[in-house]
Amino acid sequence: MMQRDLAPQFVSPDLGVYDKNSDRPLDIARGRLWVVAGFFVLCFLIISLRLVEVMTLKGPGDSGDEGLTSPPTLHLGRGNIVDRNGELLATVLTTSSLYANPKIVIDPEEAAAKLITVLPYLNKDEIKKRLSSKKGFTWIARHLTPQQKSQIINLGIPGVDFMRDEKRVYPDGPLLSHVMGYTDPDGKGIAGVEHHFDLPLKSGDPLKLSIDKKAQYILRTELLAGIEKFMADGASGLILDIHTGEVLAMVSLPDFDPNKPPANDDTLFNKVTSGVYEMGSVLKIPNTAMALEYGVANLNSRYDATQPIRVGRFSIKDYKPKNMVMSVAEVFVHSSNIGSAKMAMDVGPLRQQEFMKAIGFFEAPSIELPEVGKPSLPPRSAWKEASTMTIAYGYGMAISPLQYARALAAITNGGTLRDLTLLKQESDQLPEGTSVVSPETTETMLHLMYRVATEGTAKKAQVPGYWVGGKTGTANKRSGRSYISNAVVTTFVGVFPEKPKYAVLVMMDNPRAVKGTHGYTTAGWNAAPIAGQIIARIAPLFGVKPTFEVKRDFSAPLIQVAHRPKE
Amino acid sequence: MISRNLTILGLVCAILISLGLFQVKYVVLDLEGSLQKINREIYTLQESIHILEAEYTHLSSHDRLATLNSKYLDLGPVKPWQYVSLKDIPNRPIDPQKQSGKSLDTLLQSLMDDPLDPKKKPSHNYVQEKK
Repeated sequence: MMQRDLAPQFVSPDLGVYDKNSDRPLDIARGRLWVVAGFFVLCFLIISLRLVEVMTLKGPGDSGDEGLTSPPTLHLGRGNIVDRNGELLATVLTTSSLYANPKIVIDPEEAAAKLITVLPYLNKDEIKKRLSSKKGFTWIARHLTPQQKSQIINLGIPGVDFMRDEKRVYPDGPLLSHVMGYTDPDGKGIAGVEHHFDLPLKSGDPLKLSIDKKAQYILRTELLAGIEKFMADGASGLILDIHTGEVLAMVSLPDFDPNKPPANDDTLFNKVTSGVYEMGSVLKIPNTAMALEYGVANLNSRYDATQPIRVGRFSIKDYKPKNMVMSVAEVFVHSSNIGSAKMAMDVGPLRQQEFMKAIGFFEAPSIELPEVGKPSLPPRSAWKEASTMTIAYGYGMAISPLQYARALAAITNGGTLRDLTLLKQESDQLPEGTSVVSPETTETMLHLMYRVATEGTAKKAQVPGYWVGGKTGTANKRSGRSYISNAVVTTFVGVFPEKPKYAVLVMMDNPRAVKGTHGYTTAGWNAAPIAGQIIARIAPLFGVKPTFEVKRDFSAPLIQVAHRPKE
Repeated sequence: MISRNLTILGLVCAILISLGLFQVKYVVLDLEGSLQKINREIYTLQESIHILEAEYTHLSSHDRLATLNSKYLDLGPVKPWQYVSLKDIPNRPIDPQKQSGKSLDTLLQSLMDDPLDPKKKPSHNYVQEKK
């Protein structure tokens, strides 16, 4: 304030005329000080704001140059595959792969000779050729162990080095070969679920299958024992949850080790999904269900099975003919071809086609595998009486065990046909399906199947307490256009417990008559007992409590069951 | 006068703040270094856990367990008749000689034969003699 009074009339020649309140050198200086101070205040303000921002807003690790500032997660090139209980089925392990830069390699002969000492399985001439080439990069050996790696380092060969690699590993070996498939050395899925889910697995997502590893082990072990006991060429098996459509176990033998997959082999063939067979008498389950559902017959309807049916050149006969007039129940329990054929004729070719299409026999079933076989059916124009009759007892139509099991699940679960799946169903809600038979038909079929498994051909599959109901089928093996006379494919299909939850299918490829089978190779002597042993072992695993109180009176005389004809 | 004191005060504050700043900076650097070290350890441990999970699965494979079982244990699959409900299990019989007094304590005591207590003599021979 005092400065303003000093020489108020000061005039600076170069600055122009000012009044007494104008700027002076000190004022200018003070102004500049204010500017500078303001600038510093602004800087500190910015720093304070930035401090607040950095402390409160959590951004991703911005200062992560070489170290890690946030907890890291392990990222491997392919997602794990686990079973329905979380047990590991397939994973990835870090390995070292050996490569060479042939341009730097000094003496290929010496290098190859040295490498053979650590890796004797290599072909020395092949390695020498690769090391002598003009390329800048060549693989020598993939996926070596740490011991092999240190041994090769000790050899001191110039021009060879290691690269971090990842190898797909299946800790249980051949336990789950066809379902899993395998990967090529670069980690690409080639077969099975590895192929079907290749993209999500590649991005690291884990896969949870519906398979129960314990049930898979039991199925495989029992089938292997069965092949040995009955000197069979092979076998296949399937265990399903009939309500959810989840595949709990799937085995096709012979099989392979996905850790060392064969290049091209019979073992790669999945008999359950890709193989189509004329399955024989097990088709009497859908046949009988069809007759009941269309109302052409009930349990007491009678069919004359005294005479074989002549169709053109051949005749339809019963195996172990009873030469009597049978009720529908007896046709089923005694597995009469004649009776079944007559039942199918009462339904008629058109409605039979309609039913077979409804239960999924016309198209390949959907499942999360690339290897699914198409069924083989007579063309519509040729599907007349002859086909109708033979299809009734399982000939003239070739289907896969997978699609048969799907239809069986529908017939025994109350009538809903659902897709089968290899993925664990997390939701409690049952998946969508189509209604193919009525619940009354299911009840009747379960009644009949239980009788087959107690007084019929499937007695050896029965397990006390678990109320197994089933059917056997024995079909001649085909060779081209004709049948092999003494080679059969035998099948047992069954459900348990009393209010069924699970279905089991066992198929034996060319079982022989051995000691104890009294010269028989029919399913009741091989497939059925194997299935019985499987059921006895998996039932406790699935928490199925055995019941010994008689709830269902199967010994009661067969009552007439009325069915509404299908609209 | 006042302004000179203010200036001195300002200078002292500036020096103190600078010292504090460097102190904080080095503490933060230290902490960051420890954090990176721990994170690297975590990653290594995760890799080890992953390998161990694979090894555990391999060692638990049912084939191997079945072989070990037949060699050492001799256990078999559960049979259906081995499943019972609680009501099927008979009650432990009460020894009438021990039931001297009418008190609940004595009754409970008599039911609780404790072979591990050196003062009490067990009523059953829990340890089977090796034949």
